Amino acid sequence: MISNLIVFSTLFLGVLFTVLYMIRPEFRARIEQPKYAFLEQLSMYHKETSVAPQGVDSESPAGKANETGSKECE
Amino acid sequence: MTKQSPDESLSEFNPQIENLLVRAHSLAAFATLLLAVCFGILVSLQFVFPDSLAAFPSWGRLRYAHTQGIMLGWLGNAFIAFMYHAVPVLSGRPVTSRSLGLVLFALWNFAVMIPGWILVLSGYSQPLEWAEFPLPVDVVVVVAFVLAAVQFLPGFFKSGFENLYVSSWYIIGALVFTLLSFPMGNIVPELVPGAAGAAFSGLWIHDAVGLFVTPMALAILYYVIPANTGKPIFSHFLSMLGFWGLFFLYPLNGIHHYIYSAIPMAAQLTAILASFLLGVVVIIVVSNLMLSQRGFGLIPKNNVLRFASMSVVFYLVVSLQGSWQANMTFSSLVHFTDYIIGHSHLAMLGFATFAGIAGIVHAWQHLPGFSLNKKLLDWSYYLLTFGITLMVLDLTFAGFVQGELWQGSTPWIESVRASAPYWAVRSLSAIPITAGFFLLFYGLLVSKTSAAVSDQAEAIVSDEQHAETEDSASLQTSRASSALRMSYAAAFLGGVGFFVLSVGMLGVIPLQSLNDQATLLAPQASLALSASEDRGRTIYAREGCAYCHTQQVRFTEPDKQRFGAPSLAWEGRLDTPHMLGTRRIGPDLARASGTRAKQWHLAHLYAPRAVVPQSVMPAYSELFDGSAEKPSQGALDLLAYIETLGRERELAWPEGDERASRLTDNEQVLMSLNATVLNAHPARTRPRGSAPTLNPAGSNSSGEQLFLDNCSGCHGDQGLGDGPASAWLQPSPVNFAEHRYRRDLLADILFNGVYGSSMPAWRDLSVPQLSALADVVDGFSQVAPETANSQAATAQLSSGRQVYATHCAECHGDNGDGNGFAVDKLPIPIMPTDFVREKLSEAAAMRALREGVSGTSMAPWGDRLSEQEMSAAVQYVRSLYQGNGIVAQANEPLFGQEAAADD
Repeated sequence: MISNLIVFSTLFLGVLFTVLYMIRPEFRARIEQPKYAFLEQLSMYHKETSVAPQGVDSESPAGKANETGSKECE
Repeated sequence: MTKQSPDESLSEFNPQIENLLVRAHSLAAFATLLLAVCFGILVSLQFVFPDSLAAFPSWGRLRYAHTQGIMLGWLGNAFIAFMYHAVPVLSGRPVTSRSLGLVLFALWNFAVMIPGWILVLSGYSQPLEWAEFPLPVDVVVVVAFVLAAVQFLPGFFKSGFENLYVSSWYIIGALVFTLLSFPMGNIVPELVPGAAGAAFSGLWIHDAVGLFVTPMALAILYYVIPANTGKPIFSHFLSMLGFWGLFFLYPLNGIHHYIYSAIPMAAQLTAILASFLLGVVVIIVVSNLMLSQRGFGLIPKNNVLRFASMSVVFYLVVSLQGSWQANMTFSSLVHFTDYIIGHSHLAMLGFATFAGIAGIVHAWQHLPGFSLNKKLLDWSYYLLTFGITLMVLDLTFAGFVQGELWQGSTPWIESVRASAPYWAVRSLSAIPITAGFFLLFYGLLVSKTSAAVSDQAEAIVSDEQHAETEDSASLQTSRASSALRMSYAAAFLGGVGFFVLSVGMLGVIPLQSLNDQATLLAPQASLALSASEDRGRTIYAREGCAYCHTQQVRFTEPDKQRFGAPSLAWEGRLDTPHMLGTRRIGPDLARASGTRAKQWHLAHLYAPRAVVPQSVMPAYSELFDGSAEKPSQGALDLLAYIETLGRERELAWPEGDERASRLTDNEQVLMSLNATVLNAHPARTRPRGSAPTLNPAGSNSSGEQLFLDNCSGCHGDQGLGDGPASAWLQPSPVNFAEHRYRRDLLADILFNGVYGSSMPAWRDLSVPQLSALADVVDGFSQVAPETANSQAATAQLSSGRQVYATHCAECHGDNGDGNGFAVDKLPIPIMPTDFVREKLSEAAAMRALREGVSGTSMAPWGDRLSEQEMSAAVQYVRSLYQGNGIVAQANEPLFGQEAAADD
């Protein structure tokens, strides 16, 4: 009984979420929007702080575009 | 909550990062990590060099410090360090206050970690898995989590739920749900006894991983992967599906730690079902994370991505392991074995630690003026990956070996011996792991500014992505936002609802059910612990005995055969907090009462390997005053507590079980009541009784090994009664060279033990094994089975018969079978020697007669009988022996040829 409740409520919510995602383009766009906004935020963060992320991929232009230095509080 | 559009949010973007706190928590994370790893190494070395750690706190205390150090010290600090970096970027706002951060740092490290470690190493702890720090420290942890929520969450609520990126959701979820579950797992089991308390404890064991560690690790992965690939994650929809699935299902998993226990089967099945469903959710999450890294290879060049990528792989493996472990058949095989230890290391040291490292390295490389030492990080990655993989594979195989051996009648100590090489490899795997952590720490410490290495693809949003973002933004409508807000609100309420549901279904309902069952079935008179037993219980708890010895006989056939009738709920009704345990290095102790003599226990506590040569149990010599014969009150208290285990169920039997079976129709309970085994330990020592026939086994190689493993500690390698423990046991272990046993008596002794002495019963050995052992004992004897027959001897026998009849027959019986009329009145309940089935050498018999036998009711006769009388009595009793194949004449001693080897 309780096991059934878990299975059906979980599946119901999952299916509802998926169906909404599939049949509503605006919902789909809206729900995917935060991943782009996050990259915007990262970009703005780097612009504001002008901190170059350190690491690898030496041919990437991204790091070269940044300069060391920071406005961050210390 | 003020709702803002994404554009509005971005316009107020102010990601001011508290670098001081990032650095402080990172350093604290690595400092506590290295210490916790040192504790872990000491714990593992106990299995390889069990006598070399006497200078350190006991094994149990070190293990407490190890697990809490990894979870709260290392991962806790790592997650907080990451949040100080990530939350301002994710929310676009600084954290609440630097001062609050300093308070949180001080609380976490100077009011939780350091006092927690000092307390558990000093013996103040609670014996609950992943909740070992004592209650006062738990209170500080709760306060710290409240402060963390105040510090990190307000920024998220200002931008509106519908705009939150998945990492933000995981951070919010982790803080909120840990605040709910931590008190439940750390405090409730202190108030609720037995299996019901274990239900809450089980919920926390899983919630600690599922609602604290996993969400924080996934928050890091969802953050650092796009930040280091420069691409958005594959699907935010899938990430949210995974997020809600995780928070819905994880709280329902906990009881799968107690499958086949006394906890109601409905709760167990719910946990099993949720565990399988969770596997589906994890596949969704892992697929999304892997697709988000596509194009970067299995081992990306980027250090952060490398650790993140391997963390994802570990997450997939450990989660599928977890789901499969909930399968009842598989659980009955691997539960309590090292397979579970491998699983938990894969979760905490593999998945969570690699994610934590990715988070810290990512945050650290954004500290002003720092660049990473790539070479050191590369080495660290390879060493850690190799070390952890080796450890987990090793422990997994060890678990299969142990589980397989426990399924049959193999002696318990065989599983310890078989585990030895695996435990050695486990300890060796600590070398690359420790080196990897050290290099990582060192690599961060020696990081320097270098413009030349500023070359990463992080956070570059391509024109195409910008366009996509703009397109998606243009698609936003108020309807969609509203629908999303509503769905998130519904999901959040659903998540909280499921958490409440989980506590209700898997904690409160079982509590009620178990209480009802206990009230119905428990004996009317309660046997509460005495003051001494209660003190002993405290020692048992503080030394972590429950981490190697479970106190739950499961409803499985191998458990029943080895340990007795399955444990019923009422048996733990006074057990607060519960001591059910989740691992067996040594045997289960739920039915320990009466299985070993007091002196055996004391010798075993003082010097375990003196009694059981293959044992890896820590020595508790600090409970003694320099000898096993000089126990402190603590040792006696501990012994008193061990003697309570299973006592109440045994005293209730058989009337108690019969009464109980009339009162219930619960199938699970009836399975225990109708078990075809005693409700005492099946291998309990008992007075002479029935025993199987032990025919000669033929080959002695297995018997010799059995003898060395199980008997040599007391009887010595050559059976001379001079084993390392022999000095502490009374009566002294038998010198087999001076004794000859008839086969049926030997079977009786091996099968039933010698009641009242330290000689245990070996009913857990199979008949072929007992036969092989009997062959070895036979082989040690230098006493000829037949006795010399001469005229002088005949005259002496007549005199000896008179001495015997006057002084010995009342105990040893008229015909010498050790069953005289005074047997029931002996002050020490050891049966007198049965001369019909046991023959002593002349020297041994004279010694016993002259000096008595210490530890038995056999008094010294040297001052009451002359030498001639004693000699005559000795000759007489030796003549009573009716060895294998020797047929006695009624009431007449048999005379045969005295062997030259005799005496």
